[in-house]
Amino acid sequence: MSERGPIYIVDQITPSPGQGEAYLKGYMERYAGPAKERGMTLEHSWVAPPMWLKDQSNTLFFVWSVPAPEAVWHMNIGARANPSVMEWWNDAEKITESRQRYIMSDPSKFEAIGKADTRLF
Amino acid sequence: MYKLTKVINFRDGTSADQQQALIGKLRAASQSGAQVKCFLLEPVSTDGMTVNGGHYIWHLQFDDRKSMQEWYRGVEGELSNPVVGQVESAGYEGGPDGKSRGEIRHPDLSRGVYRTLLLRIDDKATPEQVAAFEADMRAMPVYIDAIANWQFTPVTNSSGTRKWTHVWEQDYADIQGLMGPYVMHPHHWAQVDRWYQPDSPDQIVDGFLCHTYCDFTAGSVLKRSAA
Repeated sequence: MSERGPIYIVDQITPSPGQGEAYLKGYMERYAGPAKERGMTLEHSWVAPPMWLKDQSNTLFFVWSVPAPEAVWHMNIGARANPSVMEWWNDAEKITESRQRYIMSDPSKFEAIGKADTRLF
Repeated sequence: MYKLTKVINFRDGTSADQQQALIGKLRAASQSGAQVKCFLLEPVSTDGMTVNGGHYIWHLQFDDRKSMQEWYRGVEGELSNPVVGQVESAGYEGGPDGKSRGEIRHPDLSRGVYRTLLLRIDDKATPEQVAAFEADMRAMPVYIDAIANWQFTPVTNSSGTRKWTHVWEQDYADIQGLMGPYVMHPHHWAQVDRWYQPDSPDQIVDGFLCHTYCDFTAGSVLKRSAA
């Protein structure tokens, strides 16, 4: 693992009421599989509360990691090159109330990450 | 100050001689135009890292939009030359005015890399999203020291593959500044890129953009626009 990593990518998703289980199934089948091919490792998938709600919304959390900042670029370039990524998000939009993505790291890595003197290509 | 930036692609199958003859005409039109305050006409880097970057960057500066239009009427025929393929074009107000539009942070930079990005914001973006995007873009130089000079500007006159909405211009001391500290800075890939990336719920920038750059050896056009 690079001293500049890992970098974590966290998806926080609130599916439409009663759609939590369906969203999770779609995410794992249509997004998570190809994402692994783009160098992303799924560290955690969490659901709150720990049961499927019927007329209310669950909140889903997916914690991904990549080994270093340049892997974030490769992740993004790979997403642009694969139309199935946008197809998934467009389809998922129909059963989504809200979605956030955060890119983060342990603060102890800030200094190494901030040097940013490595060429990407 | 009004700026015009064109990213010129040569048509496939045209010869180097034909291409250089065209460039010679464009250079002459730039040099002889009384309305042209300064210009840059340079070949795009061939390192393969541009995106829809074209073959030449043609950047010109005028006192105002009217002067640009007067000059352009006399030269637009050159861009109908069969050597010319796709041309991406953006006209916009010029000159840094402090941190709201741009800054000259290294006025002595006489040679380096000039980079420009033409982008389009999706029509569905809300004014609040656009304002937040613009604020993120303008904050980049606060964190990224390698950006020597910069201007970030809404486009007022556009043509090409997209109706361009913004131009993001920067100078770097060298290509390392662009490909290292700029591209690899966390403010870039963990804060600003959310507006660009298809995985991000915040994406409002069209996936087709022009990211292009060239060397300059006779002074910065960004600096000259500040004079």
